[in-house]
Amino acid sequence: MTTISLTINGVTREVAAAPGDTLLAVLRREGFTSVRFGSDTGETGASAVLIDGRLVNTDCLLAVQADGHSVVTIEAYNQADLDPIQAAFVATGAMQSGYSTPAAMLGTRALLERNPNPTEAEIRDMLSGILDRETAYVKPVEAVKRAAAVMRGEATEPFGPLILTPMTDGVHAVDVDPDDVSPAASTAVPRLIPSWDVPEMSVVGKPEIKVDAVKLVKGNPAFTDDFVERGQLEAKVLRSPHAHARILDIDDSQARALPGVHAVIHYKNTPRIKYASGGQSYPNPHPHDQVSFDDKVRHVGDRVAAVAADTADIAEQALRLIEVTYEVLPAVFDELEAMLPGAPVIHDEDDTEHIHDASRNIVHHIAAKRGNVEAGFAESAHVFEQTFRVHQVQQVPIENHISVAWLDSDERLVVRTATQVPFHARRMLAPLVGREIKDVRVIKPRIGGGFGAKQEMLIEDIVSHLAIATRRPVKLELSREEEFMSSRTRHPQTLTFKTGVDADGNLVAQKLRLVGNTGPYGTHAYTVQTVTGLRGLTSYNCPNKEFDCDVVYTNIPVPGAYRGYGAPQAEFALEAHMEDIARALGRDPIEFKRQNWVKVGDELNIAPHLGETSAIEGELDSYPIVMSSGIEECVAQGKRAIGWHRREDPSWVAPPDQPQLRRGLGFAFCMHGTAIPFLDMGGCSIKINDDGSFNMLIGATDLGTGADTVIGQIAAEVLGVALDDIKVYSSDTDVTPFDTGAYASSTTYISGTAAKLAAEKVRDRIKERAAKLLGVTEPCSIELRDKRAWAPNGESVSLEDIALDSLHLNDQEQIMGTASYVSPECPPPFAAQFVEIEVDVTTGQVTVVKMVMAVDCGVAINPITASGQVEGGMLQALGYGHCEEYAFDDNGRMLNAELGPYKIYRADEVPETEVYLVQTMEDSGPFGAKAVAEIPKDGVAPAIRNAILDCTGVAINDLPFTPGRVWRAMQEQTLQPRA
Amino acid sequence: MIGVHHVLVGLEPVARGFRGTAEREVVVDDDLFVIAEVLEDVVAREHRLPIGGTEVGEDQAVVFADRIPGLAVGRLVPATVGLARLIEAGAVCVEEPAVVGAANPVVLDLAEVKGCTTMTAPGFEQTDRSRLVPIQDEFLAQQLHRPGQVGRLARTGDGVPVATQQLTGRSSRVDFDDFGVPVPSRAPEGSSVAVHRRVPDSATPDCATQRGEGPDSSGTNSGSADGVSSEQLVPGRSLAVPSVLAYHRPQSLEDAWALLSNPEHALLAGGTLIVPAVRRNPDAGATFIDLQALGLDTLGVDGDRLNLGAMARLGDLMVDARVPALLADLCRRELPSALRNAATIGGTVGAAGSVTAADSVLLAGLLVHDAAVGLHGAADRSLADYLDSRPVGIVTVVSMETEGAGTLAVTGRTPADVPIVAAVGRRTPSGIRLALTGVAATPVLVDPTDPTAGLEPPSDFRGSSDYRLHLASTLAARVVQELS
Repeated sequence: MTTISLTINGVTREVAAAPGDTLLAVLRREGFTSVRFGSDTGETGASAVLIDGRLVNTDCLLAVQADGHSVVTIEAYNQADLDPIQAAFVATGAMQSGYSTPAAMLGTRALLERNPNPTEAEIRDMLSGILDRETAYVKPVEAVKRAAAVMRGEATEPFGPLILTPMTDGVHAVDVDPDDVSPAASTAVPRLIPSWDVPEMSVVGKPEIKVDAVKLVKGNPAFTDDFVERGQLEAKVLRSPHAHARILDIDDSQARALPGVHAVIHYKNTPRIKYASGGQSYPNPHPHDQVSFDDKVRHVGDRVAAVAADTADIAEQALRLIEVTYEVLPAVFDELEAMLPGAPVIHDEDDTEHIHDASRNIVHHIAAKRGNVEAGFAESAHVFEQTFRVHQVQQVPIENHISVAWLDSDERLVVRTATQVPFHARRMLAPLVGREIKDVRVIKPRIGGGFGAKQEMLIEDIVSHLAIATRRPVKLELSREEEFMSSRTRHPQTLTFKTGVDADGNLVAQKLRLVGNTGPYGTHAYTVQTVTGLRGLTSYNCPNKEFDCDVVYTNIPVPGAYRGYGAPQAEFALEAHMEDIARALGRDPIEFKRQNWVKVGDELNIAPHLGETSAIEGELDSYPIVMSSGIEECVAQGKRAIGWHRREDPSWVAPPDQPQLRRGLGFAFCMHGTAIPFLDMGGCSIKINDDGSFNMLIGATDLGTGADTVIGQIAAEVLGVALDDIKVYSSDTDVTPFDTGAYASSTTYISGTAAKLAAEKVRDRIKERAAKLLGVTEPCSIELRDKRAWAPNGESVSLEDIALDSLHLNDQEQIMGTASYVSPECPPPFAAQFVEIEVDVTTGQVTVVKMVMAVDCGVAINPITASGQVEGGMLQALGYGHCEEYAFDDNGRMLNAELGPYKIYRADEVPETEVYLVQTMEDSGPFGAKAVAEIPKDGVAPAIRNAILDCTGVAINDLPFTPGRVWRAMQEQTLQPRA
Repeated sequence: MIGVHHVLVGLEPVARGFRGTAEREVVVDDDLFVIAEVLEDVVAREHRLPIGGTEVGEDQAVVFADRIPGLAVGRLVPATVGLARLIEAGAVCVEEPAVVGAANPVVLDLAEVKGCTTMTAPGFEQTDRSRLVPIQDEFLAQQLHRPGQVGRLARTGDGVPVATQQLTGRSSRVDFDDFGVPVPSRAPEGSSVAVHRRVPDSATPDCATQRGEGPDSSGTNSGSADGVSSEQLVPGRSLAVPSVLAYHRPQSLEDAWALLSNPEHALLAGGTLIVPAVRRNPDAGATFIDLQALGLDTLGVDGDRLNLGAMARLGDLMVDARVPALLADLCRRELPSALRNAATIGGTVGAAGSVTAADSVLLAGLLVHDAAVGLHGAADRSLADYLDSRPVGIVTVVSMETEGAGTLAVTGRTPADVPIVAAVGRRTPSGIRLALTGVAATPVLVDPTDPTAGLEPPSDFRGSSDYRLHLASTLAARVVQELS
């Protein structure tokens, strides 16, 4: 250790630093929690601070390099009131999880001090070093512009949605006039198309600022790593170098002998208890094919052993002293090859039950049907069959997986962890560490993004084993490389669609044959492929449908839950398939799809046969029916916004002066689900405080999505108070009610309804007491608004008075309400996805110029956070279709387990993005809401594919559309001269 | 004796360095600072490297762990007066008792397989400790600077170890950790990434301790070096260098140069490449010489040439009006904002041996601006020559022509992606200068009339060799057309 002198936020201090310490490590040690770890290569920018006024990453900067320099973190600007930059980020909804927001705000400061009036390109360039997986940079760019305006002394308007006039009657299609253009506004502004049947409300539907905004823009301690337990040890995991191997022996004696090492765990000293790691409702779907530490490894990066030590360095050193003897086994990576005779058997152990056919690596066989597809094909005028292959990508939350476990003073196991599913994690964790559920507590602090990667009990068992073994708090944080190799990914699949169409263009029969690749473990295997079947066979009406699916073990890194959950795969194949059928039939693709897509009143005729808990066989008396759909308005708005008519203009598509350039427009019809019916459940508890404010406890997990805000708005609307009067806390298994967790597009719909029900109980009790205070005989005639209870005669009493009366003065009681909700419905949100692209037909490079999504998510409780969800989801979907992919060597080791080589979009290269929120009134949802979080993942890839096809005539049936792949396809297929 | 000693120490990992922990006696002589290190008080296994590893540097004090202690002979080390921090480099020559070698036949057995130890396998990836390569065998392997090696090794970090079978199965490549092995023509990097390290990590199937004994364990390509077919140009910005053991910030070039004479010392510029690499290769060890205090970050105009100080940051160059427009744009393209504000022009040039360099549009831009590299400790030379010869020296200045319009054409996965292939061109009075990235280990100047002549681009998941050639000719033609 040497002593270095740092001037941090204007205060010069002498701090101790080892030569190898990064500045990030030193700053966090000194308590500057706003500086955060995202990767060790400087690629994420979460760790950036200002050094001598320049935005610089601290994860690849040695602390000693900064000796004698000035360092500024966001804490420098933290006053009681927000500074203009912080205020602008809050006002525009520029942060979702807020994990990297401090870095973005520091960059903003440096930029504006140099240039008070930056161009958008300069703003985007400044943000280029700070990766954001959540906002698509749309609202951060707006925030910088707004901050610049404020600091220049200009007046700013409140940030809110742009209200547009509907183009349709909500039911019928209209022709879009080429001369009609969408009203101009910043792309960050959500376009809201209201519906006549949605009543005016005071909090719901309003662009309220996030309830967690202040802690996020100030960089206050909020995330798992921001809290340090006394005596906390660091854990590291030894991971398999082999894709498939048996561990013959582990010798940990040298590792244990290393000073500073407190525990080494592996298959020899941990119990062999089978489990499935997917965070799902009880009982977790079979097979339970994992154990904490196995004597077999099944993918490169699989767990071998873990060490807890005084420091991460010592833990790493100890890992290198563990001698492992492997018997290397042959491995298989392709889902089709894995089923062939002679393929290596990945689960040959005898204690895993419910594998469909372990000898052929088939985890599940899933079948569902309505009608008779073979008869349907026989009577069809045309039958089309196509096979699509989709690849493996990763969620890449900027906050890696991190967990801390310790024994509290009652010797109960406490786990603070970045999870989407605290209650599932508790239930799944308890048996693995030999405890009852009552002796385990899981706390979810703020989460820096999840996207499904954290719908998993991924590392909680490791820290718990180590905490119990050492009786010390133990922390484990994955590196970015581990995140790629050992967390969760999207399932690769091979999909074959076969569709019969009659002479009029109506679908007669549709069959989806699916082979899903679940890697070495079946976590989420059954449910993801089921959703693929559901989404692949639900969007279009057809009397005869069949789903035939095998889910297969291989030795790739483990797929699991990823936002969209099987739907993006299905909708890529389906929308490409339907596009090609339309072309083969000489039909306009949108017309053809419209003829067949589900409309209000149509049955979702295979949905009950593809459920998570019960796949119903045989015909039912009744099927779920679509109750609301704004798709025609979505299509009209989207066509106008993208300039759909331009695809008919040959000189636009193939400009004569640029022979290598083609321009294309693409469309995809999107349909998703809202929560899992009869399964997803959320609870909420609300109590009144002395001042008439409320505490709301929810089990729902806000990953940055704005769930806490949206659920708070729902309660505030019911209770007639401002959002600020609802203090939301989530989630802690000891304190908050149960919730299944943040997945399946369920939070607003399920947890929001629970909050609404709980708030209504509280409201009714308040009305009772208000009636007494106001001398009114009919409590139901009392109205709550503006934090007061109003009698019909205009007299009122404040909620504070009611609270004081009830807590202290008369007939004392705690006014509180608790409710939970499970839905029998699963109302589908609909959307129209449009993209504009440019193809360089000589090099194969595809450039996406613009993305427009018009989405019917019912009533957007908060249009800012809803549009943020769509923007971020679309950009992730763009990565899926365009540039993200896992590349492996022959032995199954990932070649690009690093950001950069694994390419995610940055701020200075994203397409223009516009979001249209088409309101419909979904009566089953809280204040009319449906889901919005996952549907933006569905349409981008097929829309790009269809746009390439439209302008070049080249159909590409595998992902992603990287230059080499597109070029190869253009060599194999004939480039069509555009008429 | 010394050479043999190193072989023995390295092959039989019983030795521990204990830099900085031994008692020191500093004797002031009339002429020199003299440092002697005392070994007698050292208890076996008590002292360890601060950051992992068992490497023993040539000039590093050594104590044996559980065997006969070596006889320490305090060697007087002349140190340049004024280099107080050079005390760290104080060296001790440990003389190996001859009997040890004879008493350890294992050592001799291992020595017999030394011939293959120049194959890759970074120390971290072994479950065992690193081995030393006899000097005469160090560079037997082919294709010293083919791309792919560095990126792969650099990725070793705290991540997943690679089985030795796997690595050796790919091809016979030299271990890039051999930066510092004293082969003068190849040894240290120029500026930001120069690392001299005495003990290469290397392994072969024979000496690996991934002791798979089953029928399949040796099956996977074990022992067979199947040529170069799996060579890959891995995009990424990382470089395999040792961990940080100490840090120096010299106040003069002479001091920096003197420090660099220690083969375990490495130059540090912005650190955006070297620091990630350090984290990933914790088994190794190096001491950094930070050049920030040398005033090397200035710009100057000299006639028709612009001189960029080696420590000038890309983020600053991007907005400096004296920098030609094309180069300013390339500084922007080279790295995103928060990295570009730390990375330097000298580091970019000095890191030219890294895998990043193959894709560096900025290096290509410098080539077409007829850049020259000013060196301390070696003769100045053109950038093209520098990339070729990789001399030992401190990059102090990069100078270039500024006249003439330039342009570029790129193909990448996304608009700001590191291009798969980029063509960068500039019009000069004597014709068009054209450089390509993504087709060789470093950006190369090519003949505008026949841009792909002699190119054999490596394949990787972003682009096959054929595709890269196609891109090279297409993009070169676009640049030439635009400049004509």
